Amino acid sequence: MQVREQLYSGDAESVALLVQQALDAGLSPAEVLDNGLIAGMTKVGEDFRDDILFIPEVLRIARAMHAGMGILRPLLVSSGVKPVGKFMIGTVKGDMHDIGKNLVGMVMEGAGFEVIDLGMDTPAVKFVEAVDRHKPELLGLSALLTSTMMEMREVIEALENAGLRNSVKVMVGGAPVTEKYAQGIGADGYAGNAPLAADKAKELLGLP
Amino acid sequence: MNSQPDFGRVRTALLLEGEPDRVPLAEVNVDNSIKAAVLGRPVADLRSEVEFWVAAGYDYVPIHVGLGAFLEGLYEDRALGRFTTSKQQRLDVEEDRVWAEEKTGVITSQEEFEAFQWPSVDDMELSVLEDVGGYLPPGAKVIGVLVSAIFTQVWRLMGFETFCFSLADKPELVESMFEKVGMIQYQVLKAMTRSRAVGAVWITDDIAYTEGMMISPRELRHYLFPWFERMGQAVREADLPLIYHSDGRLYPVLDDLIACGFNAIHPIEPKAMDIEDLKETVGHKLCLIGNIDLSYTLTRGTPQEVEEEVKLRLKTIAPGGGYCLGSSNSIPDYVRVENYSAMREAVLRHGGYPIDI
Repeated sequence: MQVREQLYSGDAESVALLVQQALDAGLSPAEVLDNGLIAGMTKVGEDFRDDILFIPEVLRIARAMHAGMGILRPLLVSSGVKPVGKFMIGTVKGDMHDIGKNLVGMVMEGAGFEVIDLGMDTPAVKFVEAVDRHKPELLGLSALLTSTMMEMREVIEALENAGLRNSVKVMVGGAPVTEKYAQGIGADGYAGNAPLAADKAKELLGLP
Repeated sequence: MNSQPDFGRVRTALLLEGEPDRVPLAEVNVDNSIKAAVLGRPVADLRSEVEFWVAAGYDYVPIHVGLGAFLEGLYEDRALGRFTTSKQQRLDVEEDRVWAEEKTGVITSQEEFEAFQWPSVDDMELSVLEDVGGYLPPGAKVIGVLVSAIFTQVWRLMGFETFCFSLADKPELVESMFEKVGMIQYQVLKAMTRSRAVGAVWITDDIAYTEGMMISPRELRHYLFPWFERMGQAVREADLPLIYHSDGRLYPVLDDLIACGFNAIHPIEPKAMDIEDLKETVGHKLCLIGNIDLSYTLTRGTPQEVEEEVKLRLKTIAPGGGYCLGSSNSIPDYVRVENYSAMREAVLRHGGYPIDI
């Protein structure tokens, strides 16, 4: 599908145009999403993992995907197409970085998830309130500093104290975070970059 | 700590000229709070700055110069108390930590590029190199640090996302930025090489993160490495060693860095690169610096764990020379002082050549 090819090239205008053309030609919003955007993002994830694409290319592709989703999203809602899951993400308290978080959010949306972004500098109590209100299947915690990543343990403990820990799978990521650290604080998963986060998310939910 | 400075051991290690008397200690930066804890008083002037580095066991004093040091005030103005998110929410920044601009910087168009008040090398106050030199004890030198040299300055001035989009949307602007920033920093570096106090040059410019390169090696070879080549030649002509600092996973560009003329790489983050593998593959071409873990050992570990990790690095990496020991980035305020001291003391205790651990 041309949407897939143009998505890979990062051309936002072309993607939006082609998405509309595909819909006008009679394809359903779900077909355009699955065979165009999601299929395209799968290839993007693989090539990012294999050092063929890098951050600037992925950002441009995410911008193009966002343009396509802007057309599809209302149509998907009105036609009753459900996301594969609900993914909530935020950068922990004291940390002001969001590029990594935003990339993960965009890749997850491209993988078919509904994404709720709590933003930067998010205290544990806000994570707990949001999990209680939105009931996501997955919660992603992002930190870019060795000092702020300690907050991830606080969030997990706050979820336990609120009786919500078992209601959500917690994933962690960010430059200083490691698999060992994730296991040590009781997280369910760790991912080193956005495409790996999407793979881990699907694995945690038992999705193909 | 009793160790007479001898920059000769650092030079021997950097230039791969065999084993000096012991493994040198090396850091590119230490937080002021840590310096004060080690020295027993605040480091408030150049004299006390020199006193810290000598008392702590180093053979040099790193002095940060260039566009990065000059523009820190600009970045602080934008960050402290006036930091806004993309949703235009004002956030109260509690600490005096300066956050790099991820979205939109001060130069986002050719017009803003032309209007920017670009400093010249004369604005950089490079006389500090000679001033510090005046306080050095015999045997010690200055290492001139060209901090956040070119790539970092370009994206910081543009904002990281703006820079990323501009690589495709506004390549002429990106060319202009690299040309302007590269030339200013090249002139700063040339001035550094003329200083009698300077014993080596250290370029810091992060181009990678834990999982890989920030941008493609192809784009780095087009925009950045030609400047590194010029700098490498200038430093070589001055008979000075040249060190390169970047965080992250640098495997795809190691050969490029060697070709540019770098004698050493730093800090070799354990979670990004395997130092034993590097010793085997490039240890005959590059001095290796750093690698003592900040994710756990220096920040959350015990002094005993620090000593064990230092001894392991000394045993596996130091033989043959070409290794300077230090942290896997720098010493920030959240490193335990006792661990920082344990690292340095372990090198003085166990780092004499021939290594016998």
